Amino acid sequence: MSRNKSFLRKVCYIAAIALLLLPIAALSQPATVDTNLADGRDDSSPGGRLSQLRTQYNLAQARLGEIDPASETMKLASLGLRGVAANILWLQANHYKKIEDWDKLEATVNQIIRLQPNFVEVWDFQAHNLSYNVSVEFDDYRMRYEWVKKGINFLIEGTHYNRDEPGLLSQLGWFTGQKVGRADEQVQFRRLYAVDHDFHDVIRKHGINLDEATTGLTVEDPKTHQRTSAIDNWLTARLWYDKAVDAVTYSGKPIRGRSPLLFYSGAPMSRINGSAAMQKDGRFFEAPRLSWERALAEWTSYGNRELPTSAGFNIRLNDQEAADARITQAQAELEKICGNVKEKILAQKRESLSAETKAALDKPVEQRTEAEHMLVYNAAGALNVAARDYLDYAPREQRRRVQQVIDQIEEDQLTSMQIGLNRRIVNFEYWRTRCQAEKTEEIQQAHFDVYEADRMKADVAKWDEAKQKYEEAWGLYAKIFEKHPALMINAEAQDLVDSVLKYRDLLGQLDEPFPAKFVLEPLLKEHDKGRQLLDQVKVLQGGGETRPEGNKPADPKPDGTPPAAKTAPEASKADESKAEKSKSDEPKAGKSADEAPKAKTP
Amino acid sequence: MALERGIPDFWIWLLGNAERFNILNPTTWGFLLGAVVICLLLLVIAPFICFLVASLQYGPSEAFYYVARALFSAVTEDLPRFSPRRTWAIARLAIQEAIRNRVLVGFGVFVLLLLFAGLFLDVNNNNPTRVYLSVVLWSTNLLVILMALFLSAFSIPNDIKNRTIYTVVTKPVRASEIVLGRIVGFATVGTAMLVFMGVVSYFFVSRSLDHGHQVEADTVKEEYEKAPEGQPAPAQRKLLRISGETTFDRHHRHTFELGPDGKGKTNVVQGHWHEVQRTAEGKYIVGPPQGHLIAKAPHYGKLVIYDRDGKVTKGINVGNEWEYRGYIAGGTPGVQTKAAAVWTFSGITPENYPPDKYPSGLPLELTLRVFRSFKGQIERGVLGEMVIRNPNPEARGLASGPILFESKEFVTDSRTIPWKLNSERGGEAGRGELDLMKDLVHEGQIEVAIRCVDPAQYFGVAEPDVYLRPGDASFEMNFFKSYLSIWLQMLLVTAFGVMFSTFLSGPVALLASLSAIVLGFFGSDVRAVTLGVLYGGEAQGAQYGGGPIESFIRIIMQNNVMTEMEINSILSTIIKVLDGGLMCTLYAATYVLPDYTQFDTAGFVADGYNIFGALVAEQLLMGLVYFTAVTITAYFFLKTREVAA
Repeated sequence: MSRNKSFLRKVCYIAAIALLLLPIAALSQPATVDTNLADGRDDSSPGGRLSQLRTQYNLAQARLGEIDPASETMKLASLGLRGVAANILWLQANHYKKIEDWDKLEATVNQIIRLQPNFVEVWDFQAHNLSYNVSVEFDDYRMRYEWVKKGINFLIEGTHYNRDEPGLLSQLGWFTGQKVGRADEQVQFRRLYAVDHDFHDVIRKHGINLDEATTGLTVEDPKTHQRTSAIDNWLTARLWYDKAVDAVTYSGKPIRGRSPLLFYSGAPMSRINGSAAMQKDGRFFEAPRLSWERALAEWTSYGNRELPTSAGFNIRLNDQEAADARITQAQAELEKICGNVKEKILAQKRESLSAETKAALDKPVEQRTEAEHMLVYNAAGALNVAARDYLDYAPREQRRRVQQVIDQIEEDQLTSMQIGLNRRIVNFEYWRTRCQAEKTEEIQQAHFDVYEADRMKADVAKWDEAKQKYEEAWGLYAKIFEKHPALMINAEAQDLVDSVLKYRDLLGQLDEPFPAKFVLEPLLKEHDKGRQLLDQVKVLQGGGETRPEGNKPADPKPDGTPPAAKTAPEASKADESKAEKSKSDEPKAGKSADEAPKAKTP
Repeated sequence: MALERGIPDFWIWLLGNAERFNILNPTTWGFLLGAVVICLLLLVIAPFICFLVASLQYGPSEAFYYVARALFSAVTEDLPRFSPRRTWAIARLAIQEAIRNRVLVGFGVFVLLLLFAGLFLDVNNNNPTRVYLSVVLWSTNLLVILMALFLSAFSIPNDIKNRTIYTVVTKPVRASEIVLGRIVGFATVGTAMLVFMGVVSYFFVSRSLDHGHQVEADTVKEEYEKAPEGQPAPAQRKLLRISGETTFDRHHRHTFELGPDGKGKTNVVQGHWHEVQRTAEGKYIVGPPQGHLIAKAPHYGKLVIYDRDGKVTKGINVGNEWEYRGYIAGGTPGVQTKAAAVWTFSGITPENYPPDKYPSGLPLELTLRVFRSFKGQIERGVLGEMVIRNPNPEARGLASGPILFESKEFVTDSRTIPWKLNSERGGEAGRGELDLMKDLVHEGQIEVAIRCVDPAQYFGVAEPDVYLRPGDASFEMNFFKSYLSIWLQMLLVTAFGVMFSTFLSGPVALLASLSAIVLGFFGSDVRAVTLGVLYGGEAQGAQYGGGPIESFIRIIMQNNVMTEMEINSILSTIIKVLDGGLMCTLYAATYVLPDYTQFDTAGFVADGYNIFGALVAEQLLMGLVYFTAVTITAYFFLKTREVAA
């Protein structure tokens, strides 16, 4: 009897196990791929519930053959202490970084991500660590470039584990664009990147079509000495940003780590930066013009994109002019309906101010004390004539219409304010103006003239020609800045100020004075170095000296005046000229034998 | 390779540095004096503790007699009657026991680890050789120590539990033979495992790193001799060189250059290079990787760093957390700065460096660091200069002219100090020329002074950064030496395990042995914690929250570490005293127990440096001393233990 019972029990257990296998199989069946059957049927399957969830959330290892055995084994082998193991590895990584053991640091970082492959911040942090922190520890720019690439490769690997993760894709765009194209070694990095075919192959394998990132130039590969199509880092960055945008659009993944305003600006800004870099590389006229045109189109497209704001509604950056126009129109209507009551309203508001404030307002600006300035400043808000103030003056029969107009004005004002705020964050107007200006022949000619002049300045035999080129360029820039004054204010104009300083040095070499009325004086006034130059010129010309200090060697002191007797401006001028002399050496030193030849015109 | 402990000198390690010797500071004593002091202390303290313990049981006079008899019989009976034959019999039993305990599973685990190691090991590393060697050595070390730990800790307690020990102790077998037999037996098993693992590891590493390349035909460029200007090109142009690139395999490719004979080699990438040859048919053959499994045998010198005023200094700290290197400032030497790093090499004799073996001169290698305070010229390295000088104070000024070089960071810069050097002063070689051996070597010594030339830039230097490289040792021998270090660790772990098992139960012996291992590997960290607790608030790195008892109370009462404990002040004082005692014991234990980090030589093999003979000698001596002390202690523990109880 008991043997029977035991047997029956075993049978029941086996049956229960078999029954349980059914739901387990349903849950954990792996997904399969299409084997391309001869009859064209698709024999792929989405797999069990877990596999479907993995696919839905785009987690790694959704399909057999994509499983990373090292990662899975390490996670299992840690026996629940994955967090502890990861902590130990992080500490080790920091230790190796401290003792400059880069190989072990890299190996440890790779072990960390095997334990935490879906923790996106780890990829972010360590990629940044490799590309930004470790790379600068090397003196040789080639080694720095290798480590910048390691960081980028690390991010690319992260996108494999975390598919369609917009944050990582966007970071790839940032690293490829900013780290390669804006670093102190940008000239060298861009040159290396242009012909780094092995790296390009890696990028191509991850779905980036680098044919869209060619500059149109062929350059000599320093290793093989063969001419090859150059790939631009900024254009590659643009492709990564586009992929990030696609991930948000088609996969519905949230944008992580930055605001939508900045997220969507990545691609058009890369195009803009690429266009500017083209000119720095010595390409002018047709190719950059086309590039700037595309940049303008993309910037406009960006401006037409609906972006959320912190105020709770969406805006389009291009809509500010329309909003302002509506406000002006509505304001005019308001005044038409209510009459010219603005002064009355203002007078009423002024009446409500305190006596001290009124007295301060009545005083001329230059005679006000600090306290009075504060009172005036604080009163500005109270004296503002808002649309709502007109309501009291609206005729009875038109009140409803006036209310509607006021509501519309207030709404448009809020919209306009938000758009203005967001525009300032991305410098929207400046870049729009820049794109519009840069695609003109005039500005291309001006850039070319300055570029040529800077180059010729290094050759004594071409100084006169260089001077002429500079002066032609200044004339063109003056016209351009008259049309687009915003171009003067931005930090990007600093390069032009540096060229003006080089022009000043050249005049010094030629024993000619710097023009008292320089055509680009408005530009110089907008920048520190420019203002210093103007001050120096004023002092020199005010002191009766006609020769600029420039690179003139220090004069002997005939009266034996000790150096301390030198006046401060003179002493600083001497220092300035030394600094400018070393700066003028920089372009020469920056050009090395193996640098790719620069195209002058397409 | 960074040698944070400095270049080992066996005699200084053994006897201490006479210049820094301080009787009150045990860290300056040297190993010999330290070992003698510890042994004498143990010889006094251990019998005294035994006496105290025995007094509780038997009373003081009986206890005294008991202890004295144990000591006396050890010397007069057990020592002269010690039998190697019986010891070996016990050892054979231990081996059989180990095999019965499935120690061979360790082999299986190791082989499994290697089989799957390729999944974990990242060959896309700048130096995959280091990664592979580190992994195999580390995994071997871990497995062997674990095996030794488990075998040794449970052996005697299991025998006692199963009462099989009676069959042993009833025979005329001495306690010393039992202890030594067990240790020898388990060590034999460990040795066999190590030999197997070593052989398998060697072939695993060699095979894993072996790879090949092809030559990419469209990258091959032939360079011919150019005709003189104005003359037509000759019909038969002379081939000067062939250059090109290999295919991209294993995450890297090489460039190569061949001579007119069609033979040459590639550049060094990922720590190795290949020979390349062009056959008569015009095909290219790329050989196997070379230069990655090496054991450099550097000849180090003594470093003195001078600051910009010419005074001896440790060097400038440029802000690095790691102070291994001091930095010297750049500038026009003698005008803007007198900063220099001077290495003095000894043993520079024609016997050690025969000119026929070194026709170009003395082979020198540099691994300097660079710190730029401003970008400067990115396209080239920071410039430095090297001056070879005669160290004889009476021959000051007898020095070569400056040899300019461009710094290379994180790679080995191989140079040669030629036998004939330029100098304004001139010497044996004639006017304007110096003979290195005759003019610059004094009593077998020579000075190499390195300065940074670029102003406002810095060179980072440490003593092992500049060395002569007369030749390389055998990689296989170096590999063997690292396994010898692992073997010594295994031997010590076995000895400690057996010792603890003579008076503790199996699991407790395991825990005690594990603690000894942990204290051995992390001794410096533990010392930092204990000092922080003892001098809390005063010393750098002070540990707030007190020792273990105080911390436990704080956790229970949820007090934070910065405030005083909310308990009675007398009780607080008692707790602090107890904690202090525990910390002192722990601190002392870290010095008494073996420092296993001293046995870690995996870094040498992985980095391609020969393990110093002095280091091997240190390890052997330490191993011998600890082994002897632990065996004797285990003998006394087993001898005095009431097995039947």
